[in-house]
This record gives sequence, structure tokens and C-alpha cells, in this order.
Amino acid sequence: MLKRIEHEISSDVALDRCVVSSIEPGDTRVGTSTVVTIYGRFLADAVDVTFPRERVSTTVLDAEEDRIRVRLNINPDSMTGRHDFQILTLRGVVKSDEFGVYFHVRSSGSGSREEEDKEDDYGVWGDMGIGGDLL
Amino acid sequence: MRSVWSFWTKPFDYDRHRAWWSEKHHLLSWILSLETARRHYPRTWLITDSQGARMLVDGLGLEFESVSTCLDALQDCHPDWWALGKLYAYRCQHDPFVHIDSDVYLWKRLPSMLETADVFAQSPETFPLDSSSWYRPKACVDALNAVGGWVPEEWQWSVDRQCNQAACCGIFGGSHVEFIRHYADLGIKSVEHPDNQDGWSSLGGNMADNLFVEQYSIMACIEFHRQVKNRFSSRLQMQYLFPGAEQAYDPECSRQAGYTHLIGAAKRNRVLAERLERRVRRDYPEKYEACLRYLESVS
Repeated sequence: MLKRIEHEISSDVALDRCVVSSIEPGDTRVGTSTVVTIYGRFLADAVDVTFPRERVSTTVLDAEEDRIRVRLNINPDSMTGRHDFQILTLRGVVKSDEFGVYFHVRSSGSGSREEEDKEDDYGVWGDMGIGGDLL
Repeated sequence: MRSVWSFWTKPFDYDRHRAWWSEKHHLLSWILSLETARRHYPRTWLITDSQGARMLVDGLGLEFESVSTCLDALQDCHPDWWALGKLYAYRCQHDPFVHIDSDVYLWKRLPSMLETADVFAQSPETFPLDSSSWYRPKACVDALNAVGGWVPEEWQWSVDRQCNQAACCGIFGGSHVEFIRHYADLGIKSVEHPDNQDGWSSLGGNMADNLFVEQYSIMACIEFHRQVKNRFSSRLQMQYLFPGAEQAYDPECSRQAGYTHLIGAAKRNRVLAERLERRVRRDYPEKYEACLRYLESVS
């Protein structure tokens, strides 16, 4: 598995294509604002970072060759669970899930680790159901 | 129009309880589903088994106009077939009705076009006919045919024409109750028929086969009887609350319809679970307290 990822990254480097290796911190709670750093390669021309799932807004603070600092605003009714994200660069769009990198949004409660894990297992796209915002 | 809920406890005890964030939230959902719908449809009917009646009526104190424990008849059925409880409830109906899943809340009365429809459901579904779909009608029909099982002609007709329509049944009902009883009976018979048991077993466990006998079968029955002229053909107007799945999941459309369905993984969403609890505690405080007392009594 490790060899396969190394090979993919090597290929990307050869093409000067963006590589996403991690995001730190990797999680936060709903209703918070936090600054995260996305690490990788060829990130200097990043102009925007977007979260396809709803209600996470972003502001790129600065971008360097190996990192992007981004402010994330997580709405109180943002979906919990695993979020992938996209980096828009002058050379195109790169998706974090291509590299197995995700950001986790946790609920506002102080749930146990077991509950948090359960939330992550099931916190997938569509988990707001139909009309969940009417509750 | 009568409002109907069903609760077969065997699948719930077996593994369906895992669909919910907690047992408390499952019970809170029953409170909210009943209390929101009864404002519009006060003729309420619970179709369950003895254990379900003890839980929901004796324990939780839910106030239905009528309660039937006819699902005791399902005690020997395999709990994988959770849709049987719903199909039995549909088959019991002799007056216009709406069956409401216990994870559905009707904030508004249903549109009159649904209330007067021959048959209605939440929303239509279209699925791919390849292996990527949860629905596998051809595999089901082929498996039953392979063992010489009993296959409803509606299913065979629909599979032969590669029909890929189903109806999401968060709500389901109508005024053509003779047709609905016929459709429900087909599903029940196909699941219970002794000649079909090896066929179902050969398919392995698959939750979607419940969707096949409930949600695919209704469209197969409607399309078949529209084409093949018989006593049902003249009255098969099908209506939906939402014209498609896309609209159902659109927050503005669900708001206009006044409709919530904690479908699938939404029942395990912690944010929604917290909202559900806040809503019941605020709007139905006595029921909320009764729920807590019941949980304490059984813990």
C-alpha cells in the first residue's frame, strides 16, 4: 500500500501536479472557526479551497510551495463526519480524496470517543435525511 | 383519511435498532411522528405485535385510536424481512389511508392531490439496472424461477421490460385499497411461499430485497395493471409528495411540503438526534418525560 502511494506521488511530482499529504489540525467542531494548514507539494498557486459538502466556508490566508493556510468557518448546522475538500490552483482543481486526506467535523457536544467514532462511521453525505433542517 | 403506523419488533430487536443513534431517539421519533401527523389525521392506527404494543402503548403511552397486534402472526418469519411488517399493515386497510414510517414527521397536511389519489408515495426512484444498484429485480426473479418458485406475473412482466422505477415509501397510501391489498399480498406471498425459500436463500442477505418487495413491486404492479386491462386498470392514478429524489432532498422543497424523513443514516446523525430530542422535550414535555421513565423502567 505504501509503495503504491509513493508511486502515485512520484508521478504527480513529475507532472508538477498538486499533491495533498495532510491537513492539520484534522478536525474541529460545528459552529467554530479555525485555521488549518494543508501540507503537500506544488501548492504555491492555490487560489481557493472549497468543501463540496454544505456549510463550510473558507478563506485562504496564504499559500506556499508546501503548505496552504486556510481559515475554516463551520456553521452550527454543518454536516458532521468526514469532509473532503478541493484545492483550486491556477493549473486546475485537486481533490483531497484522491490522496485519502479528509477533514472531520464533529458535533458540538462532548461525546465519548466511542460516540465520536460512531458519528464518523455514519456521518456521510446525505445523512441529514429529507427535511432534517425542519427539526 | 386514516393514519397508520406499523412496528414489527423482531427485525428491530435483531438489528434494525442499530439504525438509530440510541434507543431513546428511536422512541422520541415515535412520539414526534405520531403527534405531528395526528393533528392532520386524527384517526390513528398502530399495527404491531404484542411486544410492540407493550413498548409503544403501555410503556411510552402513545395514544392511538386503534391498536392491532396482528403482527404476532410474523413471529416465525426471518427478521431480515423487515418490510413484511409494512406489507401486512397495507394489507389490513379497507379505507383510504396513509402509512407513515416512524422516522417521518408531517409538519403539514398532505396535499389534496395525494389525499384523493388512488395510490401515493413519498417520491419516485429510478435506479440503474447494473450491479451498482441496491435494487436487483432481475436477480430476484431469476433466483425464484431457478428453483421453480412462485413469481408474481407483475414482477416477471416488469423485469422482462427492464423497468427501473420504484417508489420511496416513507409515506405510502391511497384510496384504491383493493389494489393496494392486492399489491401487498403479492409481496407477502412471494416472501412466505415455501417454494421460494431456496431462491431467496441463494441470493444471500440483502436489505435491498425488502425494497424490492415493497418499493419496486408497487411500481411493477401499477405498470402491469395499467397495460393489462382488468378490474384495477381504470383507477391507477399514482401521485407523489415530491416529483423526484432530487426535490425530496432539496431543503426548500421539503420545507414547502412540511415533511421530514430521517431516511437511512440520518437516524444516526448526532446533530439531528439532538434536534429531535430538543423538539420533543419542548413541544411534548409530558411525552418526553414518559419516554425517560419508560427507559429507566426497562434498563
